[in-house]
Amino acid sequence: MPDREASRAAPSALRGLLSLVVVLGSACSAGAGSVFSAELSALAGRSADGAWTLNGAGTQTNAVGFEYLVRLSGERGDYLTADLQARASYDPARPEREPWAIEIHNAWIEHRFGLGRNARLGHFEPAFGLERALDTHGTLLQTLAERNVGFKHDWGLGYRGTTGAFDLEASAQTGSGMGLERRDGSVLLSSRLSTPPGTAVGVGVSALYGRTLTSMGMRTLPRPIFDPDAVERRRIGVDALWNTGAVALAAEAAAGSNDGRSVLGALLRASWQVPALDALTLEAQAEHWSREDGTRTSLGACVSLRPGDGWTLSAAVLGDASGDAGDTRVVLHAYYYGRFP
Amino acid sequence: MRRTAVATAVVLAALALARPASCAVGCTLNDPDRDIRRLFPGATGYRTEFVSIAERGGRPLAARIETRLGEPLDPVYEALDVSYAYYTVLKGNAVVGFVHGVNQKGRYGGMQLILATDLRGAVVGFYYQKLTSPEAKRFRSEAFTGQFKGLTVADFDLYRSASAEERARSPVSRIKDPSERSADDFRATLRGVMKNLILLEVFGTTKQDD
Repeated sequence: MPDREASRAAPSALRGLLSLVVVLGSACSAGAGSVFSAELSALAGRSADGAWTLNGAGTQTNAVGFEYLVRLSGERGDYLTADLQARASYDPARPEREPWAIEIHNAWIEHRFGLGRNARLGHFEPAFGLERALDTHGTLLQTLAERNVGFKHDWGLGYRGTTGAFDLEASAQTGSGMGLERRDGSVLLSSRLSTPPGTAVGVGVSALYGRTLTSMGMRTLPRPIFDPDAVERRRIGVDALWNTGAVALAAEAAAGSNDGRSVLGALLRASWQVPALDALTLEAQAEHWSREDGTRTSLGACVSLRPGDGWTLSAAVLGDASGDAGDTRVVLHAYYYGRFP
Repeated sequence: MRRTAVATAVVLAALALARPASCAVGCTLNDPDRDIRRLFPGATGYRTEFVSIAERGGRPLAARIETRLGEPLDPVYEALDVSYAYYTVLKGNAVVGFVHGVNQKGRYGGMQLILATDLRGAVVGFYYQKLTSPEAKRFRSEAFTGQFKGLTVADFDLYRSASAEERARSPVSRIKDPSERSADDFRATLRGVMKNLILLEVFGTTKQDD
């Protein structure tokens, strides 16, 4: 049965992937600039009952992967960028005794019409929330993206550009997340207006409407198992970053509804890059999520060491402050991202 | 259980075999479209190129850079396989300048120093994309960063000269430390800007050699 599922999924998911490979291959033969990077994620989690497992960190899994970024240039400059980031991952908590999976994170091509005007096609982040301002691809602490959108990447079309003092993004996507699927009118429309990245104080305002599909397990292949009914999501959100150098604060809040039922969420994260020990970062995060049928407050603390050579070694304690101590987990994570070969 | 053991073995093997390397790209612009337009208001586009010391000459090239810089390259911040992003700025089809950044170890952490240069290699713009310092405001001020305008790598070569007379002739020696208690970051800034200009020159030269 799983093999049949996988074989049905292969044509749709692989068509896009193969198209991108063709573009990347053409780009290489055209002498475009490219960077190939390898990625490795190894983690183990320990629950309050003392059992160690090879998962326990939400979107992070044990994985080996790569990222291939290509830029095509002409006489008038760069006009096309393509990125493919994929992992072979292992998560014993996946359904149907299929712990191994292919995860496609980025798989997009972007055309530049001019400075500050870019259109994107493929699998990329929706234009919503703090996730657009923080890179959480290799980190244990995450944003509210999973709660607000249901996933961190989706298939579709997008635009990003500059408008006066602000950056503007908008996207129209399938609402299916990592797997490529359309059913029950699934769709995701999102937009975000923000101050440019890299400033000491950054602010973003976002909105989304979607009918998104819920799947068991974060994977592209084998095909995820989707719930038959889409969830109608409406959100508005604000996010902010304040970076003083050694100390950085990140916050976001979002309000809206899931299938007509109100939801409200907020997140606050403080990071301290220990002075004189550039490689050491301490982080603490509080997250509150409220629905009509209950609330949940999660706390997390993480220490990360970057010894160089592309490695990040992290240890985090993640817990549910509104539940019991049984929800507390300790997660150890070794993450590598570096140029290859 | 057996699958878990196999998975663990695969991950551990991959960990053991993974080739240590530095971060994939040393210093890219946070918002290239906006940054390029701000640094070169008439620009209509740019070409992005990734270049590393390892690709362009390896250890011998690194030795030349270190000699010119007067200091060894840092194995973490300045590893040979770090790719530097070079932005060739265009107005129509014509090249009007370059934008390039480097990482530099400062007292409180990594700095990112971005230079915009004209076709002669003279600085037309300089700013910190990242700076961790209690006196960051002073370093980021136009009164300080503006002093780098017009400088070339030859000015820094003169500044590094053994002759006190030649050092005094270099406009670099007239740049004042804007801080009260962060002389280390001031020195790191001068080193980073000089390294940035050296890399611009050697990468351009080695490319022509290709």
